[in-house]
Amino acid sequence: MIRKVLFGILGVLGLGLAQQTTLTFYYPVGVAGPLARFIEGYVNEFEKRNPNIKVNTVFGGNYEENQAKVVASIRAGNPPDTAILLSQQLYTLLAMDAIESFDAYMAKDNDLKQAVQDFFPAFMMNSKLEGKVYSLPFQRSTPILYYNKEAFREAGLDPEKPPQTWDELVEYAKRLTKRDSSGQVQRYGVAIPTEDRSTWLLEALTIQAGGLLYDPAGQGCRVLVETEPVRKAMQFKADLARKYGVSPEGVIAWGSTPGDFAAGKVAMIYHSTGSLGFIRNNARFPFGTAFQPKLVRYGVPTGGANFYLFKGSDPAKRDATLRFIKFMTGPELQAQWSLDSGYVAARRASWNLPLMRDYAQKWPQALVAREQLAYAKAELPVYSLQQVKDIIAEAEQAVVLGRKDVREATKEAQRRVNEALKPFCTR
Amino acid sequence: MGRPLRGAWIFLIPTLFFLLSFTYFPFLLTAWEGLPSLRNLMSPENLNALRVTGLYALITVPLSIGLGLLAAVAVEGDSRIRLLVRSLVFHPVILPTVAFAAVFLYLLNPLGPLQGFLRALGWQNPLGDPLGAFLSVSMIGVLKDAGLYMLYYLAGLQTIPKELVEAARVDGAGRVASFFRVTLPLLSPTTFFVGVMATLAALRSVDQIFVLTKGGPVGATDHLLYRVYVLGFEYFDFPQAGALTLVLLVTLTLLALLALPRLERGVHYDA
Amino acid sequence: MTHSRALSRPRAARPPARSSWRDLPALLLALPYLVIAGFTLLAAFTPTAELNRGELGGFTLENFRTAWASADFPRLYWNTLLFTFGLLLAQVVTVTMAGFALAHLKTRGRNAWFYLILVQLFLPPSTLILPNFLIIQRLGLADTLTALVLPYVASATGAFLLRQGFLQIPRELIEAARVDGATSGQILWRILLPMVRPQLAAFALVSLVYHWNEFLWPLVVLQSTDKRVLSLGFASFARSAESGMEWGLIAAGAVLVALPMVAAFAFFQRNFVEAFARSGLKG
Repeated sequence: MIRKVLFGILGVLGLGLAQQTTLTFYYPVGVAGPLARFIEGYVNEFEKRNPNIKVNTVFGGNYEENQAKVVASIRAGNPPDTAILLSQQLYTLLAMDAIESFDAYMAKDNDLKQAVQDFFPAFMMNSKLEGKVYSLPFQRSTPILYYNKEAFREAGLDPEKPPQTWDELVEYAKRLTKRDSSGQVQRYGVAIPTEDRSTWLLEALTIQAGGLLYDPAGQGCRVLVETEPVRKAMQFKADLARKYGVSPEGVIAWGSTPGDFAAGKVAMIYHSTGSLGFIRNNARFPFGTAFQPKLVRYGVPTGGANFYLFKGSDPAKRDATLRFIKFMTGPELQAQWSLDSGYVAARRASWNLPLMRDYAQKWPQALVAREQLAYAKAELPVYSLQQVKDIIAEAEQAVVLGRKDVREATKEAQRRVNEALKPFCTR
Repeated sequence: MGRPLRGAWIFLIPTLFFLLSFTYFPFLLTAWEGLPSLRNLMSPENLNALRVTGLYALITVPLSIGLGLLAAVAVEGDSRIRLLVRSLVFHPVILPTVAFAAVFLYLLNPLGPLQGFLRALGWQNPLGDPLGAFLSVSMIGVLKDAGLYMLYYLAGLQTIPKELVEAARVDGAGRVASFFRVTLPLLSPTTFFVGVMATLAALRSVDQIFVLTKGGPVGATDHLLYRVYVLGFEYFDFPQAGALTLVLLVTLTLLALLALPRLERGVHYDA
Repeated sequence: MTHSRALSRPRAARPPARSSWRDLPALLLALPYLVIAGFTLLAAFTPTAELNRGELGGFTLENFRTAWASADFPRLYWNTLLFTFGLLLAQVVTVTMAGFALAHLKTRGRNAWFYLILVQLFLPPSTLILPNFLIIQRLGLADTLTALVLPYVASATGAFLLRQGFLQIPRELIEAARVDGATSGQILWRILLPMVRPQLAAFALVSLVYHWNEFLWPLVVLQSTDKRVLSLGFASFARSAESGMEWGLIAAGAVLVALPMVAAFAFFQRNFVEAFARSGLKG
């Protein structure tokens, strides 16, 4: 009898174990702050609520490294169940035939369908292709202008009136740049980082100059580098340091720019709204956020990364995977994530939650990125994404460093980009 | 001393098996796969990688050897301080390069503790400047390896009869002159050996690039091996990565052909 | 390598010489190393917020606590141990056998064998990451610790180091054993092996240090986090800490990664120095 009971217990336990599903999930961190720890915390919370699902999280590095890791695992025939990758990786992933659309699941799952309709449309621009939904927003942002109100006051500028045009930006930056008696710069006016392997801020400047870095009708095949707006964007960045002397010389590292700002070494920076959390916690002066100034129009690309579903991963785990994605993109978690990091809560419903309302009241700086969405464009979607970005970023660096004339740099970059796209775009 | 033993070569089988499988076969595989895409080799980016690698070797080889030799001469002897310094100079050899390099992220960051020093050099943002980034990466390579070369030089110094140096001193040569006229020439076998080691290190040690500069800015630290990684494992362009690997392997083979006959003597006529 | 002992701390019989102004050049040389090591330790114990303002002075253990919590250090240590010692085990077999063979090859054709193995010194596995990865993948071994080991199993350095050891053994010993009817295998195992222990130990130490620090090949081979080795885990951790500009965390992580080797070095300093000097394959 006792034996029977024992076996019974064992049986139940065994069944419990058998039903335990383990998911593999890769994620990147692309902005300042201890974001990896936040994400691990959310995953723990999910596991607590779903004791029969275990999530094996893999921190893959920054966006580029994480992408390389996921692609390597796909190629090794062992794709993850889900991963957070740049929203602009759509074409690259489709070319590899690596991802699945959410549509079949949306038809079956009303929650999921509602969720998809609740995301800000701007954040879905990079997710859809030919009417299908391929990714769901998670860590989404726009680049914004951060400025040091104390420095503004010190320079005789109105801290409630951030610059609205490129000319104003230069004007303000000149007044904000502070030198000591020996001419050494104590504080720079502005810093627009040039990240090693990204074109994000260049895209923002290009949009502001009236252009776009790609042809929206180009099906991931047409990148527009050799254009007047791109040239203006690159030249503007170069001029800030080399002509006006209001920005640090050389390539400004993306990673350390929020730190420089928080330490008062730069009065204005362009950075992701995702760095808001870091700046909030580290700056010891009042600061403001604002739209990035315009040349001919306001505008920025959306940025950040989304959840994807991978072909070839175990279909039996789909339910658990979708449950995890729904949790991570749910209104409550998106609100919490926005508070922790500064990313824009991607769900409209998040913004009606008391948590989010209180936050927005206390930190109105967080609202700018959301409002800027009205002027946002989709981020460069293209095949061979990383290679294309590397080429353009290198051209940009060469101009910023004064190594190449902007005409020559964009012309060469255009040629190289076309070359890199050729294998996918023979049409 | 070993007398020839019949069938001794049988004991070489495990080593040969693994050598063939993971050194010679991959070499041939690379040649086979890489040769057809050799015509793409002349792209400006690849040429840049070749140039960067060459410059990296040109800078790190003499500097790390020089530092190793200088350290050996400075720490030869038994005083407590010298023994301590010896450990200090040697210790990066046993540290993971990635950890050693990561520390430089902190040291060189625009708010870091070396800011005053860097400012004086006019290099507030060394990693954001092509030359600064290249020199930073090189400096890490030099500091990391010099300790090992110091050991070889210390061993070399032990083999030099004190009388020879003293004789030179008696003949009126100064400390420096006797070093250059007597000690250094006598150390030339060590220098040759260390030179080969340093050249090899320059061609294969790129860990710090992954941590610090990712090949940038504007390709200033785009070492051949780093580019092989990016091409092969990020762009998945195997043919081009293979062609570059082939360039690396051919260079190494040439180096082997030049250096082995002399090195082998050192191995050969010992004991 | 009879001089190697002189490289390290002298025997107790000879007390260290007094220090004097002649040590000044040595001290100057030590300066950059002191700066690096000093600031690393300082940063590791300073609150990150202070470092971000370019200040030093506070004291905290928080960096170590956070570092320990944000990477699975026990597993990283364990994987690294598994990789380095597993590899060493295989290497001990191959290099001992090869060293024995190289010491006793017939003179005719000997150089060909020598060269076949010596060339490996010039073709380090890190330059072969691409083709070796393709081979590993073909073998279905991607993302395994086994794959990590394979390219290093044969070692020219080890083979020639052991050859030196075997050459130093008096031939009478072998003759006597042979007269007693021992086979080559028995001679190797019972008589020769105990006598090449110093060479094996030196080789083991160098192999452990190099592979403990290995980065590029694991980066290519391993994907799963639960298989990562120390340097790989640290690089990814440093990356996330860098994006947060948590310099204290990076420094603490670097200390944690370096600690086992630094501790081993502190304890066995003489053996380390001797082993590395020997591995240079010089007489």
